[in-house]
Amino acid sequence: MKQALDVSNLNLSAGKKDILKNVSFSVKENEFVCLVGPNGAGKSSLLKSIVRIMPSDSGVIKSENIKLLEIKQKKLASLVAYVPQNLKKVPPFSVYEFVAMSRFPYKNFNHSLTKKDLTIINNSIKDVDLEEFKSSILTTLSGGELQRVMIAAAIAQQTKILLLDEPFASQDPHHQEEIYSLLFSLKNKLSISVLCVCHDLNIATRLSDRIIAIKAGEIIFDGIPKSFIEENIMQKLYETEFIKINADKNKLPFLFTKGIARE
Amino acid sequence: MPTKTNYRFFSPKVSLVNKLLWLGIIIFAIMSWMTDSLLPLSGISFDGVFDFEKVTPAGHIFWDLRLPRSSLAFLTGAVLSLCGMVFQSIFRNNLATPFTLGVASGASLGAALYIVFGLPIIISANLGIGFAAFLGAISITALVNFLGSRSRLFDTHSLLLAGVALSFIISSIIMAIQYSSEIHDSYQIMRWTMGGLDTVGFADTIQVLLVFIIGSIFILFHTEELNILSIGDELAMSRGLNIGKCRKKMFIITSIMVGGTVAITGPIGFIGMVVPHICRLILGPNHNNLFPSTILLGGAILTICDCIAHNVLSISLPVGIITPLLGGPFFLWLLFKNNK
Repeated sequence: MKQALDVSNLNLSAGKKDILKNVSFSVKENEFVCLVGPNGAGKSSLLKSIVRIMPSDSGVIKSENIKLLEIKQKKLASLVAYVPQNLKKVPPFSVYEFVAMSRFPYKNFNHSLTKKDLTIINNSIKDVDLEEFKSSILTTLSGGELQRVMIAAAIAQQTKILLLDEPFASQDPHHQEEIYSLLFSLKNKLSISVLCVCHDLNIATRLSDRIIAIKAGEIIFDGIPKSFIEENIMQKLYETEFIKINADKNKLPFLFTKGIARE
Repeated sequence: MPTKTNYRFFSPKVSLVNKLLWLGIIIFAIMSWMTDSLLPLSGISFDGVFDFEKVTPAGHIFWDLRLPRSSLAFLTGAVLSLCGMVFQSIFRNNLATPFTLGVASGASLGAALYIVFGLPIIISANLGIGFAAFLGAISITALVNFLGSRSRLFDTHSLLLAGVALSFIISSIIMAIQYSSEIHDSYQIMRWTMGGLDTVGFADTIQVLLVFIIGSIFILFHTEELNILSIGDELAMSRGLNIGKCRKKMFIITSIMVGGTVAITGPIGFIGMVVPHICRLILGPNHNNLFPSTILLGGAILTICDCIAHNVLSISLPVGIITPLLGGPFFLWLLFKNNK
C-alpha cells in the first residue's frame, strides 16, 4: 500500500525543552492510526506540527512526494485536515456557514461557492448526520454535536489525511459512542487516512488499525492493537499496572488500571 | 431543506424580519445623512438652494458647509467602523479597535509632528498631515505586530495591554510636543486631538471618500478571510489561511484608512468599537453581512452624533466629545445586558 503520510526525523522544541525527538513514522492509505501516550508526551504537538500550527525545528513530512513543510498553507489545507481539541470558543456562525468555510483552500479569490462546493458542504453535513441542525447556531449545540460539526468541516476540506485531536475528550458516554461509530463508518465510507490522538485505550484499540505510542517525545511502540495489549506496552507507557478483562474470547480485552479495577 | 445557491447572505433567519432589518438600516442611514444636512437650514429659507445661477446664502450654507460636513461625518463613521470590525476579527476581541491598540495614537503623533515640523513642500497641508498620520499609524502597527510575533501564538490579551500602554506613552509625547510648540500649533494640535468634522468645501470629504473607497473595496474582497480569522488561529490555519500574511495585509489597509481619516477629523473614539458590536448582535458574525451593515450603521451613527454636537447646545461641540458620551453608556448597557 502507498504511504499517505510520511514523517521522518521530526524535531520540535519549545524554549529549551524538547517536545519531539527524532520522530519517524508513516500512515498508509486508508489506515486509521491512533496516537496514545501520557499527558504532555507530545501527541498534540505532533499533529500541530504536521499542519504547521507549531513550527518544527527539523525533519521532513511528506504526502505522496509533496513536502508538507515547504508548500503554501492553502495547498496544505487541501491535503491535510485538522480537528483541534479545544472547541469552546467559537463565534455564533451557523453550522452551514461554518462548514462552508472549509472550501476556502479551493477558492482563488473571494469567490462565491460553486455548485460542486455546495454539494460537498451538504454531503459533509449529511455524513455526520446533522442535516436538521444545518441552520443552527454553533454556540447552541451540545459538545457532541459541535464535535460532529468540526468533523464535517474537516471532511468538507476533501483531504486524503485527517488529523483528530482527542475527539472523545470531555464527551459523555452517549456522545462518545456516537463519535466512535461516526468515525468508524467514515473510515470505510471515505477513503481517507486518519491520525487520531486518543486517551481512551479501549476506544483506541478497537477503532484503530495501528497504534503509535509516544512517551516523552519519542515513539516507543508502533504496531497493531493486538500486540500493543499482548506486549503490555500500556504499563510501560503510563507507568502503572493494568488488568485485562475478556468479555469476548474472539475480541480484544478491555483494559483498566489496577487501582480502579480493584474496587 | 432548501439549498441556497449562494451562502453569502445565507443566515439562519433569512426571512421577512431579516429583510425588514436591512431596509431599516438603509433608511436609518439615509435619514441621518439628510437630517444632518438639512437640520441646520431651518430658519433659513430653502429658496435658492438649487439655484446654481447665483450664490444665495442658503445655497452657500447647504453646498459648501452642510453637505460636505454631513458627508464627511458619514464617510468617517463608515471608515472607522470598518477598521473596528477588522480589528475585532483579527484579535477576536470586542475591545480591539485601532484606538485601543494605539494605531490612532500613532496617527495623532504623526500628525502632531507634521503640524509642528511640517515641510510645506508637499502640495497640500491635508495630504501632508494625512501622509504623516499614515506613517505614524503604520509604525505603531509594525511595533504592535513585532511585539505580537515575539510570542509563539498571537496572544491577543497581552497585545491589547501593550496597545493601551503604547497609547499612554504616545499621548504624553504629544502633550510634550504640544507644550513646547508655538501657541498656534499648540491650539491646532489640541483642537485636532478632540476630533471634529468642521470642514469647508469638498476637499476633505473627497480625501476621506478616496480612503473609504480603497479600504472598503479591499475589505470587501477579504470578508471570507475575516470570517476564517474570527474562528480562531488553529482552525484558521488548518483551513489554509496564512494568518500572519493576512494580519499584515489588514494592518496595512487599516493604517491607511485610520491615517487618512484621522488626519482630517482627528481621533474620534468609540464609534469603531460600538458599531461593529451592534451589527454583530443583530446580524451575527458573518462578515459578508457585517461589511455592509457596519458601513451603513457606522456612517449613520456618526452623522447623528455630529447632528447632536451641532444643534443641541448653542455652541457647536467637536464630535469627538459627543461619541464617547453617547457610545460609552450604550456600550456599558450592552456589556451588562449580555452578562446577565
